[in-house]
Amino acid sequence: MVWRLFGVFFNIGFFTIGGGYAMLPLLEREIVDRRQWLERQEMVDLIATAQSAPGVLAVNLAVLVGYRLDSLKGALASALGAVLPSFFIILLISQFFARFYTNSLAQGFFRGARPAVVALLAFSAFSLARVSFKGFRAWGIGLAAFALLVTLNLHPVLVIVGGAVAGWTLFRRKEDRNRDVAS
Amino acid sequence: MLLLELFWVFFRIGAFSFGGGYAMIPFLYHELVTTHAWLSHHEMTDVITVSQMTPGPVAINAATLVGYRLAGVLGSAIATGAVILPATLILLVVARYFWARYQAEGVQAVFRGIRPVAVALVASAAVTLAVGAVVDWITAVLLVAAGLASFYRVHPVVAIVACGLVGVLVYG
Repeated sequence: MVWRLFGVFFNIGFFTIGGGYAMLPLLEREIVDRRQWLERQEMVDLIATAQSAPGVLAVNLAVLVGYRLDSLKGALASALGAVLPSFFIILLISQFFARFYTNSLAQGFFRGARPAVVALLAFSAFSLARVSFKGFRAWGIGLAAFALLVTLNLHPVLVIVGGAVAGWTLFRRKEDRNRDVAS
Repeated sequence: MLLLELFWVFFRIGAFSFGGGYAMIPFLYHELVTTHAWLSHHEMTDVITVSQMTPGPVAINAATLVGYRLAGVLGSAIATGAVILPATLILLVVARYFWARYQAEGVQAVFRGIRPVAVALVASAAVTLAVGAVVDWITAVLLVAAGLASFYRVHPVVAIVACGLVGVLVYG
């Protein structure tokens, strides 16, 4: 399991173009759909937790998924797998920084790849929404959070805390939870 | 002791920069350009550009590059390790405690509130990235094509590489 975790995150690490979020579609496909190591719902919870901690999202998510699947050694293997690709690539680039920087083939590749990353991310948001948006209250929280993030550019941690407070207030009592599931 | 200072600076960056990705840039700039002058303004811009062009989180890329500049491969290993250490430690503690109580009533209620927010974060990241990614009609077509590909369950890596190759042909 340790090696498989390392392998999954190492492979994904080569394609997280544009930061940690770019790894989500790949992670979802590999770990939820293909290998079925996690439920989609659990994945959403891990994403939220990874967002709440400081540091690098991709590594945080690797630590949480790794720990969930194979405790401490899983967490370390996943984190190492997530870090090493960019570590090697940057080491390589820093040898001939200027040449890569002005390489039009490399620029063309990433210019073409970037919209694909956006589309995959949007699709990921859509498939995660299908499992997380149950009932009108969840829809309300989700849409409000989205509006706040896009228009006011609120800090992610602030919005997550807001969601936690809303969840505690709205879903705390059991009968409320059941009624909401039925709605 | 340069290596120790390198470790400490990147440890602080890792511990206090919430939000990940581009939210870390002001913090990186402050520490690396303003306070320590390890990078010039121009070099910092280059680091960000390279991070946008290459796979990998911007903080890891910056740590690897700055560490290498200052102290070679050992320096880049120390800086990279330092930047991920605080969150790794915090999350290991959280994971231990969190998975023990995951099924508790209160925790589940809180997560029912957090889940839609997490999805909204992913959606807003897509919106933010779209601004820099869709720059002309070709990139707009690639966006739609990749969207259709994921609808038909094409593997994400295949979609990314295919669109990248189109980019090489068109822009390269």
